[in-house]
Amino acid sequence: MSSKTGLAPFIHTEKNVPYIYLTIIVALVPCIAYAVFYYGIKAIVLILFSAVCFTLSDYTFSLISHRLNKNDYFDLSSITSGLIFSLMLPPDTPLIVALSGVLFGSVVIKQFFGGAGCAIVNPAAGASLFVRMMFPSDMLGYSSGSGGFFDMGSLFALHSGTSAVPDYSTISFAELVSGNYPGNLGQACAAVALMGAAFIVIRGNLRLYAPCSYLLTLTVLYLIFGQAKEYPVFILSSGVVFVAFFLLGDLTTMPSRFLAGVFSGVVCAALTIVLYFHIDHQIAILAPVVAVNLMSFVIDFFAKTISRRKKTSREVDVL
Amino acid sequence: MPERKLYSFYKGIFSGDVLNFSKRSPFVREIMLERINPTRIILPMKMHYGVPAIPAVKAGDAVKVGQCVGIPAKGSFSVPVHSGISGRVSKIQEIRLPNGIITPAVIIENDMKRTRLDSLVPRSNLKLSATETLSIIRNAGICGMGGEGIPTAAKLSRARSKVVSDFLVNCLQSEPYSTCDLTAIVEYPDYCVRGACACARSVGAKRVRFLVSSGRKSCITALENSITKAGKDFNDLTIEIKLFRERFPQGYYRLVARALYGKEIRADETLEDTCDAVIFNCSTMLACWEALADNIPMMNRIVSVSGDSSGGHNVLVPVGTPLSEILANVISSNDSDNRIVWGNCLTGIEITNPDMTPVIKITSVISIIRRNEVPRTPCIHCGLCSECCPMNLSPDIIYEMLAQDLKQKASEEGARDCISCGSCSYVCPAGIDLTSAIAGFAGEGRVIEVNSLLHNNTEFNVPAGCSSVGEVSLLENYGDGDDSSGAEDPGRLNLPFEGGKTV
Repeated sequence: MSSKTGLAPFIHTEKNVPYIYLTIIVALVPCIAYAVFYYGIKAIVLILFSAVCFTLSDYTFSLISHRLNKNDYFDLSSITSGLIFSLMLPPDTPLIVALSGVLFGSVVIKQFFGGAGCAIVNPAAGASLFVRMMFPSDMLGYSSGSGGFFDMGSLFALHSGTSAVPDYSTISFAELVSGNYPGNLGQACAAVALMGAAFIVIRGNLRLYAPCSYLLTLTVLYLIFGQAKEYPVFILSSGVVFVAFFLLGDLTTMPSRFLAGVFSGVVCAALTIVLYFHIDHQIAILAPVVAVNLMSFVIDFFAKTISRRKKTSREVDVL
Repeated sequence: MPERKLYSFYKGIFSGDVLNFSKRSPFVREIMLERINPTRIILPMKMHYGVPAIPAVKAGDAVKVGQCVGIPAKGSFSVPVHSGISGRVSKIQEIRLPNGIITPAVIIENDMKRTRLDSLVPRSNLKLSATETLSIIRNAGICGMGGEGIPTAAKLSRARSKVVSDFLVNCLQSEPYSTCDLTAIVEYPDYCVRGACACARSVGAKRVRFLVSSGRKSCITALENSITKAGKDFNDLTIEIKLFRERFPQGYYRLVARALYGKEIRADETLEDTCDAVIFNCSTMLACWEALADNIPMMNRIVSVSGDSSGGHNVLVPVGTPLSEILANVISSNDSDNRIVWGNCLTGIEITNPDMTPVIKITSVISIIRRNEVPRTPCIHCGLCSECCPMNLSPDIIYEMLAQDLKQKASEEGARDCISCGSCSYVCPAGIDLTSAIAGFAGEGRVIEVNSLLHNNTEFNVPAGCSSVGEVSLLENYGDGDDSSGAEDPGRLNLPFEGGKTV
């Protein structure tokens, strides 16, 4: 056919890839605002630094690997991954640690497997898990902005300090809901994460199968195996809500079908509970996410097969 | 009263903004007949699914309104072609329709006198036998007007031989911007209902079911009133209205079967065998009653001219009107930046020469779509295409398999089941042309089949992957019907509507 005539269909939804990522970025704004409010200027520096580095790293790598063509769009997925990654860091993380995480997430997890849309695990989750495994001692700086709003000392240190985890009995419920509790930059307040999630749901870019089944299973299992009075701290402050909506709600690395989504959410929650009482809490939350991401294609494939079973078998023609 | 239960299948597109902004302008038929009176018409001899007709006129001949200019070839899979205007045949030349069919076409210059054949008078005796009904419908040149283009008489006689119980009338026009069927119902509900009842009687069906979208209140009201009126004449039939959810592509027969009967129809099965039903478009039924009662052959049809950059129009035009004449009449400024699409904007074909592209019997809509580029990005595996695919496929995976030339794997994934509805390409956030790739692959196998079964010497050339995927793969497979009905053919050709003159 001549190049002048196009191919059907001639109309298209407004929802293109940049739109989807832009929705997620907008949904992250409450979390960012929360981080800046509680942890001061160093939070925004850390967040912007991660996002910019992630974008630059992605861009440089695709330039080197000649993956970039001229009329390529601006890849908002890099910014999204950078933001999510940075919001899962403790507030006192040095920039050098953040940078190493960004490089790992961008180059090894994302670009080695083919760039945007091809990452086998969520780059943010992978990078976050990486820094927690590689620099465990630098991941304990929950100073909660005690050094003042403009204190940026921790950013340029080579190693972060360690803050003691406060005991649960001193935390009031109101403070817990408002997020005034030591935790990661954007994760310690479930309310802002929910706010962002609600925005994505309204925009129609979030599948709720996995996040909902994840949170429900976590609740049930925690109440069975954990202590009921620690449950509010766990659900509101440990970042599971953030993880549920921004990592398990990801379109790229999670299964798309209903059964598969529910199954992966349940599996992720079960693994989390198994690990949670034995190892570092953040690793216990992130490792199952990465595991589910790795399995997501297989889970999706089986869900498809199950849904096909009900119907008559397809005739396969021999070519 | 229609029951309140809503039927539907489970996937597809149902965003309201796409389906509901087709604005329709009500019109009086006679006024529009006056208005769209083209200076010339191009009548292709093959506007249906089957064997092309043979031109019965020569250059220079005078023709009248309703005159047969193409006599059907042997076999029931050919229908005659009638002129919708009076004038003089200027030439007979071969043209290429946008869907790839190369066929001779009779070009008639309009003398604007609108002299009509004397035989075009309402039929006085409406006591027709089933065979007579079928032969009138066949001689009127009626074929499926919803887009499939199967000769209606052939479909009816096959339904008659299979003894169906349900006669479905498809009023589910769910394509974006197209409202011509809905207009047909609202303007001529009596004709649709009576045509459906007459055809249902002729095939021996006991129930007539009108399938309507629940959102189309005016259609439902019009049909209800007409059913009450027609019920007295057709009291042996149970006439029902079935409400459906508005969803694209609900009108496709396999999805109707899934919604109404809960049955899956494979590509090689038919609605008659599986569900004991037969489905016809409501515009076809309108044309049938016109032929039966008013003795008018199929020479004009209602076409929607609509799109995101033009207002909605439904115009009644003679079959064969060039698109350029319609567009000149309904669009104030001819913006060359817009795409002109022959068919609806999800499965249609873009055309470049509206002067030589006619409205044919199966053209229900002409879409004028703004030319906008979708940003093409890598696939992010979001799964939205699998979510909306009405045939339960995974278009992203099939696309990837086809890109890597894994055709066997793609068949196992069900790629041959693609009905090329265009939903996956429509929702794809990455702007990937999923439909053309998959439907092109699905169509490859079928084109050969079509050619071998129909003994069609006209080249049905559809290059794989080109834009003409829609028409081919949306066709119902009518292999078995052809063989049986071909044997019944009397081998005698009547010049329809001219006093039964035998050739």
